[in-house]
Amino acid sequence: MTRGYNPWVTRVGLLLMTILVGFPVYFMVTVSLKQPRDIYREPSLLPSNATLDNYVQLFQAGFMQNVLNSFWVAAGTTVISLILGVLAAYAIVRLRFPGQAAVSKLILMSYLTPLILLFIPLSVVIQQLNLGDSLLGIGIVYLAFTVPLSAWFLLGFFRGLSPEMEEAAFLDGADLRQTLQHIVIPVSAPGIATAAILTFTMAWSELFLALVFLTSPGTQTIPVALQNIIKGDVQNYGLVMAGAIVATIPVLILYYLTQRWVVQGVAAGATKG
Amino acid sequence: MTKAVGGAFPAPPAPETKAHAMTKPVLTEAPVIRRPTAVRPRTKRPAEPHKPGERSRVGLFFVAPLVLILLALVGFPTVASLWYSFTNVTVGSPGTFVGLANYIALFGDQAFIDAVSNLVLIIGVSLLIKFLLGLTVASLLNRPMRARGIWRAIVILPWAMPGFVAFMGWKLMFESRAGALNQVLGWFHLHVDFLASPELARMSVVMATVWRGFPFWVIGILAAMQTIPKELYEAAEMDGAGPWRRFTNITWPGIRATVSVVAVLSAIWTTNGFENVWLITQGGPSSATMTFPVLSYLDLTNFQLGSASAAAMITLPLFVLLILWLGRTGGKEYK
Amino acid sequence: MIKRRLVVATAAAVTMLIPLSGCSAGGGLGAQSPAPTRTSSVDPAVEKAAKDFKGTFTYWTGLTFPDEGNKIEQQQIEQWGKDLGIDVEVVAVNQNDTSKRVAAALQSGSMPDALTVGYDLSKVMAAKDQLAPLDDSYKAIGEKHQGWFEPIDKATTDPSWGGSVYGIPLGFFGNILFQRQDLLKAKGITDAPKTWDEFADDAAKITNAPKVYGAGLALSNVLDGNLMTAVMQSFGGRVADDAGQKCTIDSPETVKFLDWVSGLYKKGVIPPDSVTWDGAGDNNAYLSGAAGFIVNTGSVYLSMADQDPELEKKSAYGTLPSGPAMTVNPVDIRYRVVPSSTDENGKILAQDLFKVLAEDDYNSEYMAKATYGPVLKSQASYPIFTDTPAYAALLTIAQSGGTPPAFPDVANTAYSEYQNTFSTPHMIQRVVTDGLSSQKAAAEAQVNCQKIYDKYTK
Repeated sequence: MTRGYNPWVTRVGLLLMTILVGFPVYFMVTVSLKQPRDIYREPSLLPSNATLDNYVQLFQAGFMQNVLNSFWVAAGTTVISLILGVLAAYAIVRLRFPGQAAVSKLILMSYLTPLILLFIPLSVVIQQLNLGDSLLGIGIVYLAFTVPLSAWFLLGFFRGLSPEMEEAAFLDGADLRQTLQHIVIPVSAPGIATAAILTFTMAWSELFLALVFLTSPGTQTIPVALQNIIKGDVQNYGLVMAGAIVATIPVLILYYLTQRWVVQGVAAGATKG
Repeated sequence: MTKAVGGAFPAPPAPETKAHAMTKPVLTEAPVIRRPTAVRPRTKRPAEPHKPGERSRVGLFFVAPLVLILLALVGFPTVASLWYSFTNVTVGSPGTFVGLANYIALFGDQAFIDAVSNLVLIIGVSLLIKFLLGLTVASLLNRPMRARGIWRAIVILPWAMPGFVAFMGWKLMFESRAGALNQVLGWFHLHVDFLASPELARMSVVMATVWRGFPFWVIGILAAMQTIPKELYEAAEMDGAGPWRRFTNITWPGIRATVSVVAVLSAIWTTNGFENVWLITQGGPSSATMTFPVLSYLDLTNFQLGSASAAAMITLPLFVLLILWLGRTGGKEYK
Repeated sequence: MIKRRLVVATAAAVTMLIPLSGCSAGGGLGAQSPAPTRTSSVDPAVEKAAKDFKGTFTYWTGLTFPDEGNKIEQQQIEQWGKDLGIDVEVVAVNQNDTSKRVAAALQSGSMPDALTVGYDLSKVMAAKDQLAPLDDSYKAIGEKHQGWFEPIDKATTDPSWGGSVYGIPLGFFGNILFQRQDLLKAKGITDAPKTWDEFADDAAKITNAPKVYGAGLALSNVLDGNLMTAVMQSFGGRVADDAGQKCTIDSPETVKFLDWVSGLYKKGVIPPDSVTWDGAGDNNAYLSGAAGFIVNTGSVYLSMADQDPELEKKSAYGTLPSGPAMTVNPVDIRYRVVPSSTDENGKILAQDLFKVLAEDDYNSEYMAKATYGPVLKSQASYPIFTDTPAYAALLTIAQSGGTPPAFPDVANTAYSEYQNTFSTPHMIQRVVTDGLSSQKAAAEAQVNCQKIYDKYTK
């Protein structure tokens, strides 16, 4: 298996990569283990006077609620985006209907308007739906970004799938729903996993829109809660970094669990005609 | 398919290896590549289980929710923003049509010129480095190694944390005294004020932007690399092809389409990025790191919805061209 | 929901403790929990409004540092609602995000019944007829509490508001000059600098770059950077003429100011990265011991007292030095306002709430846990302002030396936009970063400024 690969190149490469990625993360972890005084007065790369106070404080302030909020928003958004993405991508690839080309263009073009501006018209939409300050409302807002993302990935993926299995299923008398459920979705699991992780991460860590649409403590997601730690000109870095570390872990686990699907899914979604 | 994922994971059932059959690519759809395999997928007509009329209805039914959501949540806001950019509307009061006045005012602004040049100096350079780094790291992670799953999880760390915290962390890294970088430089009795001069400030923003964004490239490129059959490399090696030849003849054609998709998404996200600049330099010093989203944000704090929209919409034609170009190269590739 | 109840419960518990810990006035009344919110009886008109009010009364508070202050305010507002028998929702808005929130709410028609906003935002809102006039309440509250401090009153009743009062001041962010007494004493400096030139001399003496920079002044595109406009004005520079229409930045006084500040920067007395500091830049520099002087409101003091009492003991606090032309020390007032979209009953209720929130019993607790300077003369006797040096400096600013925002310029929306786009720090950056001459930078700023002012005078 290792034929043609010098293991030392791999080792040195991994070391460099770990320093590149890991050093800032390591620094953030040390900051999260410090009291404000130590961050400024005793700057050090080792966690001197290390304490878990920031983490304790974080959870005492109800951070678990924020984690749950983020989870529900991200999970809900992901599921809906996947359903809509699968249906639309399948229809565009396999079925013929008027406006097909326009729809696939629409999907791509939806990335173009900067978020920084979108929140004002979006707030009008959300207000019309009477969904201000609700997890449902922010979930719907996120669909604006996650639906095109999942549809875009799945579109490429479905194109790469052979229609033979589906045809066989149809010949056996299966209807469209059964074919989708038993053939298309299982076969394209890697692509769906890719879309899922991308969608989930997007919704999990989005700040700008959440800041506008989530107001009460009961609905705030992780990024909003972390942003609210910063009051005026006082940045409690230790607490913010502790929150960031906690927020990163679920995504890492999710990625670790799905990554072999992800890696293949991205490839299939993007490269196969 | 060769075993793509080793280490901690059992090989997946890999159902997609049978994938072939392509329909003709539409201009803006996901691009296609010529797989370097000798086996060329044959073109197949899609399954036709239903009568045309019914199929059309089902198709419309399937895309209807997506189209409705995009029209309501993306279409309406985009059209609204575009309309705002031609008016002098301010928050809370309707404006009047002013034609191109907002754009003309923008063009006359020194900050506009800075923002344009930073499209190249910050956005362009970031993308280039993300690409090179993504390619290198993906090649590295595509090599055989122990505990592959762990290494791949490590690489995704920057991308998994909320963006604004990542950039706050970098702001602290660059800090003159408490910052990590100056502590390391201190070992060598050096001191650098990373955010004081235009050049260093730009470099710092690029550094943080790259760090946060390159894992996305790694995943994409790595995935594409894994669809390239290992036998091709073995065959090339037997023909005496060196590493560079193997890269240009096998790897690059295999990842090219992924790179262009990842590039377009990353380009849009980076260009529209706000936190990376705002949290690190606020567009300064002077206008050294000014970008269009920051310009737009400054207008917005004055409730100048019209000029804020103009600053935000100005990069739109660029992206439309980029997407059209992507569709074209995708199409050419296929012929 | 559960979490909200917890917060209320905690807040209620806190209030139960307050009378025990020796809050003198009205302490006996607090024996039954929770503490009463008002010392006067309820106006019948308010009672009627409370009865007729439909739905939930929503108040957006401005999140302050530290957290105790936010809790005390929230608890007080909720108790007020309970007393009147109306449903109240208190939403804590991070003051860094208020304008974005308000922009979205105005555009979508989802404004709260009342809210806390900064001076600039309230000015913009008033100019767009988005605020309800509050003249009577302003007057009544002032009379009940020995009157408003002069700079506060001047700023609030300025003709530029259009003839009405649109906000009830709740406090202000003031510019306290933080001084590292230990470093200054080591150089034989015992008195606080009276003028900006003395300040420059003192700062230069204690500079030991890159370990210590004498003058921790933000020159970046953040609110702290806008202090430079005040310094420019104290040098005699002006943003615009007395009509508030024609920019007059390009003046010998402005050039003199630019020479002064860029001289300090080039000598390395101001930290090099101050051109990109964020809002916490000067805080961080001072707290890490890297700055000899900074100008900040009370927040640095509070974090120091909590985290680093040694540094706190080494510090002294004063007001801003004077320039060659005059003293300019702007007070950045926070207002409680009522959007014009609030219905009639809501308006009556909101003004009653503002009266309750001006009560001294409550405020002496609240202001000890917030970073605001006093606005009403009755607040001068609060222990926090008499016993704590940094807060005493805020009181001094309110009593003497504080100037209304924009003074000596005209406080109109054009001026607000000039400030919101960080025009003065940008002009300075053109000199210190891009190497322009002071004359050229002032001339360029003049052109940019006129563009802003033209938008509002057409």
